[in-house]
Amino acid sequence: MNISTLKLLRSMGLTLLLLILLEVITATVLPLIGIEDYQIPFNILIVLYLSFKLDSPYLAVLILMVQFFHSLFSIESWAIGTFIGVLISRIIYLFKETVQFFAFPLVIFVVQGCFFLWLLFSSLFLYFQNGPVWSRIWIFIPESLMASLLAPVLFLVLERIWKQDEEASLRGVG
Amino acid sequence: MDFSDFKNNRLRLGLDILILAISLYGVSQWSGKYEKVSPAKSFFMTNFAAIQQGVTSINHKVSGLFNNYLANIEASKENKFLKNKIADLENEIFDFEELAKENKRLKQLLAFGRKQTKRPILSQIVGWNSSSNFKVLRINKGLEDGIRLQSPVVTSKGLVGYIYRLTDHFADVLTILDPNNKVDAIVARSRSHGILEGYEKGKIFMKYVSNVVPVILNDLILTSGLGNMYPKGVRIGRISKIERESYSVTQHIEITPSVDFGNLEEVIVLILPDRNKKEKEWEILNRPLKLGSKN
Repeated sequence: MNISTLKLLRSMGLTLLLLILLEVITATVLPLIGIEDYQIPFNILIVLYLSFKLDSPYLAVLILMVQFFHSLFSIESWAIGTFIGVLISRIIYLFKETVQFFAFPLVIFVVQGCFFLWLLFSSLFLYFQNGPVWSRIWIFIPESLMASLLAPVLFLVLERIWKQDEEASLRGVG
Repeated sequence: MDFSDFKNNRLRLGLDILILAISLYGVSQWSGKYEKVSPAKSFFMTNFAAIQQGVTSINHKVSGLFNNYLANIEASKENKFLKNKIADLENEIFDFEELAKENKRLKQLLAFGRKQTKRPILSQIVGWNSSSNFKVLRINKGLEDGIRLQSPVVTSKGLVGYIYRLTDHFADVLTILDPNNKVDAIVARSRSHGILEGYEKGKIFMKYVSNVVPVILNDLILTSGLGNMYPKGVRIGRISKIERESYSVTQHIEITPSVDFGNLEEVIVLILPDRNKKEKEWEILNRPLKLGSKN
């Protein structure tokens, strides 16, 4: 295990702790202040951040870990989230060289676009399982908008966790 | 592209394909009806639920402090209301047990003789999960308190849902607001059947009710008891909207649930002690017959 791998594990551990903290807050504090119909999908935001920022070949494993920990707080199957997460990370991989996050509005715009992709894939999955999914779309839209608006802040926090310098680049871990 | 990049790309592609395959297998195993929890998942869930419980109780304490000492107005009224609520819940349980006894007597008469005594377990809600896809709440009772998978969950006001996922000390309830939770229901006045399905903003749809069935606004909806999951006659809600299209064979019926899910703090889980026995009976009945055996 080299330094980069250690750094990857340490950063992932911190990211999972952050996810757990955010899941606990959304499951306990938000309903008490009257927000019980919507939940901010922080797990998707973290998957998107990792997909945009990380060049590690272990990205799919990290997505699996995020979705597994998310499934501890939700009955949403880890499998669907992982499948969609890996698919979207592949799509992002193709385009990420052309996207540079130099301004907050751009982050919000790009994240919202990715959320629509996520909605498309998850709706397809749930359609095959349960039939029409129109009602979900009207809840997903405000949820994804809230998440997109929060994305720049969360990405800044994640940026600190995954801070990459030249000598400990995550590229080529292993 | 140098050799290490090429190696990394191949590794990434391989891992992506492997994880996609594993997750596809996971999707194929996901029934949406209930989930059996692995020991590792149970360990994590129990610990995180304990954190959730702690945060919820701190929140309740802070808001309680505010209500009691700073606002100091509604606290005693709330206490009275909760006591009344508990009394209502006890009455409701008594009603359920009476119904079960009546049911039992009738079934004994018909020589079907199946016991259905329900044991109520009072639980507190420790967390909510209300993403766009699922409407779930987590309660502070689990396997060790006697709760079983697919046990019905109610309050004095009506039906809440059923136990979807279970650990030793906590359980997740799939509420009737969730589109995955389909409840067979009847209109109390006309006894016509339909299937309920969660929709949006706390509303429920009643599907497959024919256009010719006379339903009116404010009609009471009850569980039908079919499906062997919910007891018969539990209140679900009232009809709040009806749409009839000339070209459609069914009506579009919207139900407002009796339970105020926004202010839910305690629920009752109803346990059927003989569920295992029933499952064994079904298992024996489903066993293939051994034809042609000599003994």
